[in-house]
Amino acid sequence: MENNLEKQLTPEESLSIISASMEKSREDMLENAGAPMYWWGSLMLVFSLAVFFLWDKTGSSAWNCLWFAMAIIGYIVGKCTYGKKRKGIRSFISVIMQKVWGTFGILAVSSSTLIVLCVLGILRFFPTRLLSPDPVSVPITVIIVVLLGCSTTVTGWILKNGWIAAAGLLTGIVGTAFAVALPGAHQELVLTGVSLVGLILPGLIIDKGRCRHE
Amino acid sequence: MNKEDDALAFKPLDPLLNSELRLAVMSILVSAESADFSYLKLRAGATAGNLSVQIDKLEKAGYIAVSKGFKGKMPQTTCRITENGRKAFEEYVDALRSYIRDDRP
Repeated sequence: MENNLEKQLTPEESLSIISASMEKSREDMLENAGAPMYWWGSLMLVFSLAVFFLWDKTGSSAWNCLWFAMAIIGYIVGKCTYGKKRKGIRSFISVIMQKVWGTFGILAVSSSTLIVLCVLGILRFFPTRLLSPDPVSVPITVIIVVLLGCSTTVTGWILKNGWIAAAGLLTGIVGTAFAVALPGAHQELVLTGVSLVGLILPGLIIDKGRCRHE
Repeated sequence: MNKEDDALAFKPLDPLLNSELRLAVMSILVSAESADFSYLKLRAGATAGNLSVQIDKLEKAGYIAVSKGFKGKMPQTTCRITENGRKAFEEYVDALRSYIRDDRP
């Protein structure tokens, strides 16, 4: 290409350059697209099972604080692994998806932190009668499930993939029903199911779609 | 020249885009939100010096916007297509179509 910089192209050559460049960049943009969903889904699966067993064994809901550790580990390790593998090209879709999931992360961490701080009595924005000292009665799980279901559904719509959108709706609706119905430590198992349907499955669908394109 | 002749006439090809390296850069950027200089260098198969010259030409024509920043401690140059660039690319592809149509038996 170096020696032909100013060479006038024939229409056929131009079309060939355009199609080859666009195809290659499209493949690069799709590479690792499902990785963040796998990563966060797998982390959520492991942590939900860990918190369930620890809470169930000890009877202490304080093990829920492990979720904050998950957020920190997930962010740092994710940046160092799939974050570094990113090619130097960003698609419009990846930018929108980053914003959707970034919003989910901010809302999930901030709402959980606020609720925990209120329950511990560190923040006194609300009359204490509104919040029980028992974190189980505060619907943190419901909030997380609804936010996650919403983010997965929007991801499906952005990618024009009905299966991912359906997985998101299923996560939000069925997950909320179980989160409301199940008591205490068993709510963690709802998060196990939600991580499978709302994150790992969509990640698989995204990568399967990429393989089919190739 | 009547309407039919107009439709069949060759549209002029934008000389700025009718170059291998610049066309490759524009084809990558037209389907992306942005791309790094190192990515463009890799995909266009160009040297850094040559790519810089071509990117400069595209930027001066208002076809792309170039921003310089840092990724960690490494300097990073990011390119994105502008509205003018997108329009020019579309017109270039339209013009190409007129040539291809004319080649048909």
